[in-house]
Amino acid sequence: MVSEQFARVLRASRDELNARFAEARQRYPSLAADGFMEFLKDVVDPLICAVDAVAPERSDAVVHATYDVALELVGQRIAGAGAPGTAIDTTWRRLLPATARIIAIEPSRVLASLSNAAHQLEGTPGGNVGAWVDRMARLAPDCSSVDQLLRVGQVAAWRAGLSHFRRGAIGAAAALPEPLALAAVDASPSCRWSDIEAGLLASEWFDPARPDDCRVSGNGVPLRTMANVGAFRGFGGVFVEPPLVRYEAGHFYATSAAECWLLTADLYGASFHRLAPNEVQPQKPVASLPHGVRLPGGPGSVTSIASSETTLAVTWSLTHQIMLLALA
Amino acid sequence: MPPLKIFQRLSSAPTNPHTPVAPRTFDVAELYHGPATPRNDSETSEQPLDEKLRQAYFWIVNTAIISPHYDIEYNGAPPQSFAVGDGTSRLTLPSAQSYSGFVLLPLLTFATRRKCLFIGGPGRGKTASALLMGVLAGYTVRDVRRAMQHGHPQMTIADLLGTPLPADLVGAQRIEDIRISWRAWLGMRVKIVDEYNRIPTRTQSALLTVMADDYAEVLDHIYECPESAWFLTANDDRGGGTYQVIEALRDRIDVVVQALAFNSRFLGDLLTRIEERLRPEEVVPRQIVFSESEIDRIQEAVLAVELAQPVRRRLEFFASQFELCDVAADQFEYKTKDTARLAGAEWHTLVARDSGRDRLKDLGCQTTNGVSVRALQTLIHYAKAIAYFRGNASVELEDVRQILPFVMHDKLTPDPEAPFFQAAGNAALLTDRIGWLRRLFDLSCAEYDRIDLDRDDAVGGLLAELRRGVDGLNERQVRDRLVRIERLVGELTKGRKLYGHLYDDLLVLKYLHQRYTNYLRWLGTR
Repeated sequence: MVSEQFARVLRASRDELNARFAEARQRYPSLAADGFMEFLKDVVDPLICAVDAVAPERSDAVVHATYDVALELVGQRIAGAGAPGTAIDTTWRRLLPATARIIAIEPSRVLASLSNAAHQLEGTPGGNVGAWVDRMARLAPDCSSVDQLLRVGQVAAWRAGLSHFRRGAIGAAAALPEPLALAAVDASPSCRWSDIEAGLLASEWFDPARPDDCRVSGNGVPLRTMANVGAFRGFGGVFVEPPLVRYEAGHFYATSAAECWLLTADLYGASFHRLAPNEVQPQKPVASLPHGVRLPGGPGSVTSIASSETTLAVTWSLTHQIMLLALA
Repeated sequence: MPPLKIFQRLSSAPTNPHTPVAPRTFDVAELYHGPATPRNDSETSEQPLDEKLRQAYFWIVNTAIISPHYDIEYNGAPPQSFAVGDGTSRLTLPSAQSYSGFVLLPLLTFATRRKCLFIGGPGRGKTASALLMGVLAGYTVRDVRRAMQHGHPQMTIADLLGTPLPADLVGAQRIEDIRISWRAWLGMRVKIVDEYNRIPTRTQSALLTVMADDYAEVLDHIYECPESAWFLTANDDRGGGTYQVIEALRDRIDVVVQALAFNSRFLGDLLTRIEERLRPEEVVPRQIVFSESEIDRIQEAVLAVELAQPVRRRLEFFASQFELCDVAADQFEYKTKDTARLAGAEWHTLVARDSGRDRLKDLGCQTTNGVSVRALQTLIHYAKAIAYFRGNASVELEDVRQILPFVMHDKLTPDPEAPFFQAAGNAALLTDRIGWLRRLFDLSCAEYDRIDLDRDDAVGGLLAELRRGVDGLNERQVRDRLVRIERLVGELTKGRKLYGHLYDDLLVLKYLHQRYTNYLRWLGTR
């Protein structure tokens, strides 16, 4: 059984919705009526009720948009009972009802965007869907428009592990009202966004929640390890043998066997992006430390060292992980 | 097995890319890209309307209408061409994005609110295409079906337009007291008349008023119709209907599109539709439904498309070929086919009296009529529309070449006895109007190039001179221009046969001469 609000719209548009289901089954032959009905009942219905409570005049439009997006997601088996993961179901259950007011404005755009974001977070190693949903659900009531909600989503996704979106996410935060931008990065409401933004742009290891922290080590003092990223492929990582790193043209590159990845990393996580052979210029990694820097101990001997202005990346002979240390 | 049709899937935008794709970078906007496709929630889409129009086209052609016929061909590079069979048939593989006329022409008609006639045998998708256009305008399938007018021999004006309320008929003392129950279809922005050639002649006249002047009249009551796109269908446009279509009604039709034969390789798609009870018109994606204001904006944008002088000149040259009928009159201005037609002259008699010209070379000899102003206006409109559809700011010559046959289909009538059609290899052009008209335009352009009118257009120069204005010209300058005109007339007429384009040029020179003569006279009275 679904709620009366939902049932009313389903009844009124029965022919059209049935035609859309039939059409979707052409695209997704495995789309089952039972599974889809279950998704509508368990996942969609609470959302429709939430929308009906805040914007009853938009219920019809939201049902139609939700129905179409749900067909796509369940049909592709990335939502519902047949999905291998739970990111989208979790998002729809925990986050969407909290954003009902915004969904009512542009249902299709918001539903598709947030579903896609959840799917992408789930598919990115190190992406934390739960953290993203929690942060979004906390911030959504403060958003007054679809654009604001989606910008907050971008910032939250960056902080949930999609470090490659860092620069764009900082830009998205800058476009938010200052209190919302500060909240999105967990900075104190007493801070100024311009200060926080400057800190974020200056270093990947700047923590907006503790802007006064200094983690630059003095001469001769071992640097602080910020993260150990990457793993052996047999344990779910990307490397088949211990990697080597190098730094070129503003990016860290990790090579392992004949494969190469672009590495992005910051305080909130790291992500690897596989490169095609023609995107890579073979360069010999180096293993010399910048002047005055002392490394902490590591497994085996140092095999390569690369550094940007803010980050030192080190690989060791006895591990598939890359050690990242903050220089600034 | 061909891939299953995907009814809600639109072709990826841009469908006609004009700029190279930027290399991939980490753009935070990609966070929201993925398996779920957002639809347009609001009426005001950020997508340019020409892109939306192309999305609609590709949805129809890839999904809704099984029409694998690309008869509107564009080439970026020389196309591959293959001789088939005995060598007279050629298959060309266009090298640029090409289109199916059966889909594109109705869509342009819809977007520019003009009038399109579908012709072809029963069951070839004529009515279904018209129905789709109604759905693209935002009407429900049910509304479009109910509003569709089905021509039949007993159709009355009341059936078509509306009926007086019976109570008013009995009680009214004055005719203006009788209220009319107007038919709902008159208020729609897409009007469909199925099998219009089965409508009785008197009712056709009422239909003509609605089509031509956008109003309906019953018992002195007027109903003003909104500007709308018209779609008419006819199983047989060559007199096979129950009633002869009145000429004025036929003349109001802007383009004629033929429903081509079903390609049996696509039977599997039909099977799927039957088994799944799928009707494309019921699953039109909302993103390609156009609001009234969007159509208004498209119309404005289409009118803003430039028709540059070089293209316009070739169009003028083409149009000038057909009206001349040297033997139709003695007075120079009346030497037209229309003069002969109005006099009821036998065409064959006129042709027999025509001598001196190379009737094979003269394009005007291929037709029994000329090009009307309305036809030219329609041609310009559709040429701009197809340029807009292709995302261009100005009309290309190829746009005119591709669109011309659909506009002139019923406007230029071929003379089957013309030497051109008797020539080897040209007989098929008598039954293939589209091919014939395209060939006609090609021949006209070839002649235009041969006489080098792009560089040597003395008449055009004189005309441009006048259009710059006569203010400030003194008597000597005016007399100088008159002498140049007279000299040019002498050169053009000396030892030359009279062809259509020359006839138009001579009339222009006479016009120029008269304008300057009048101005000279006015100068003399000051």
